[in-house]
Amino acid sequence: MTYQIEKSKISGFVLVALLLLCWEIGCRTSWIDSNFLPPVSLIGLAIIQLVASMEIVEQVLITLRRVLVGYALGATVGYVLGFVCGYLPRVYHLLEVTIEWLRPMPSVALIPIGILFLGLGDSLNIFVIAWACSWPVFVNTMDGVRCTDQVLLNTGRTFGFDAWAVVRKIIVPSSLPYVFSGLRISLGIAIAVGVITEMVASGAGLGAFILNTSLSFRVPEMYAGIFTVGLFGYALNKIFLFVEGKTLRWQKGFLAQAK
Amino acid sequence: MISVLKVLNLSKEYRKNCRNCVLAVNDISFEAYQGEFISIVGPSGCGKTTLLMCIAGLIKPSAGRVLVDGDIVNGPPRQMVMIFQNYVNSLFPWRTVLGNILFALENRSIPHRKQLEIADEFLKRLGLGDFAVHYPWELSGGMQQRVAIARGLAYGSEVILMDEPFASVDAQTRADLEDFLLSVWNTYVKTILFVTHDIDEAIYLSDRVIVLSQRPSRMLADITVNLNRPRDQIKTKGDKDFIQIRNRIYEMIRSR
Repeated sequence: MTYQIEKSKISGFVLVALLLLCWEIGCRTSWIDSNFLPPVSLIGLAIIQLVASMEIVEQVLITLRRVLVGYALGATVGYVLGFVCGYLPRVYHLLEVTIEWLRPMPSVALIPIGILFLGLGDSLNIFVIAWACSWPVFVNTMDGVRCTDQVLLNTGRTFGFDAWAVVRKIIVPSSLPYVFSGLRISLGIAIAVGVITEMVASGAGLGAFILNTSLSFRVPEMYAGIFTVGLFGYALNKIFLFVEGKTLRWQKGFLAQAK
Repeated sequence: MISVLKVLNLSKEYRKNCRNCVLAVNDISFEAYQGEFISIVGPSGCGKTTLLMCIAGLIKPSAGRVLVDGDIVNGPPRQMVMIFQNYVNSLFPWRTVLGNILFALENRSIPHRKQLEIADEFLKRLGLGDFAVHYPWELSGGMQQRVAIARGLAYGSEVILMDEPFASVDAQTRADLEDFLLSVWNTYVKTILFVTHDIDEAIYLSDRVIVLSQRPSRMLADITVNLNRPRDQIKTKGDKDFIQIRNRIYEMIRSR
């Protein structure tokens, strides 16, 4: 089993290498216009130079900080709000109209308002990211809390636990798988929204770097920036999956039994 | 004989709206004495579970009262604990077997070390000693139900309520669990109220069998079972009296 997974992973990397090779050949044979899509080797070189000069490292750190702070803020707000709305249907009924009106609003549409209140810079970025991240966590947490098994809740009650203890000992852990799927969706959103906001309204960060290099026609550097964003997302997702796997080890086994 | 549990004129009506009322339990009264094993049988869907949930204080009856040790039940009392039919959903999948049993003790003001000692004792007595650090979903159905029973016993309440606890295991495991339950009941001398739809199981286990009718369930009979203990799956079930009681109950349920 493990062997098969390892094998499919290796062929996955081989596929990536092949695609890059085709790209390189396409450029070298002038089949692709190298002015707009430079060969991979040139982009690789640009990445090395940008890392050596620390130029891109700086931008990555700026974006990373904004994404993490915004993500943490948004996820926390979404979790608390989702938990309260899931646990207390009355609160949800009270807030439902407001929430369902605000939720579909594209977060980037808030950038102009953000600029008015927060100016251009970190707080604008963090605000927009947090806004966008809060919704998936909100919805999933609410569902998770609502879906807590009635038998588990009754078990808590028959063993004499009060409502607060039932929340802590039963509802919080049993809703965790839902919360994590919300967190995972939000992580992708955080990176995308972060980069877009940097492109639209900020002088710094990976998004701004990509836009600026494009406008000043530093094409290999632009691609280097885009590659870096991809890598950035890949790395954050890997870390996330690692944490999720550790926390929800029980869920896998439990689901396997139910089948 | 000391009376521990009194059920007085208990009724439960489920009300969806004004027109749509379902009477699940209709005016049931009985009394349970210390150390008794009482089964409640009835056709499926007759409101046995509803009755048990009312007694456990998990749902509010529409009329009537439940008293345990003379106190009126208003919510789950300390003196009673319920063991559910569905062990898959009543054990916490994020807790180990040990953790699940500790759950029963966490509400009491005993130091953690003492809690571990008690949990350990129950694990050993119930033959789960080797599985303390396993998760429930790593065990077989019969083992999982044993964990649920161990947890219920560890809570240390006087009355144990069981809602068809062996309904979802195979026949062999079921027979084993029945004998197992009788042996732990003997050591701890708890009062057990056991709901089942299986007439043989009810007679085999009990001192008394309460027979319920179709919904809205009324009490049809309260039958005393005077079969010798310890009971034996083959000998007891072949006993003349056993067969006679079984036929009586079957006729009662069929004719209504």
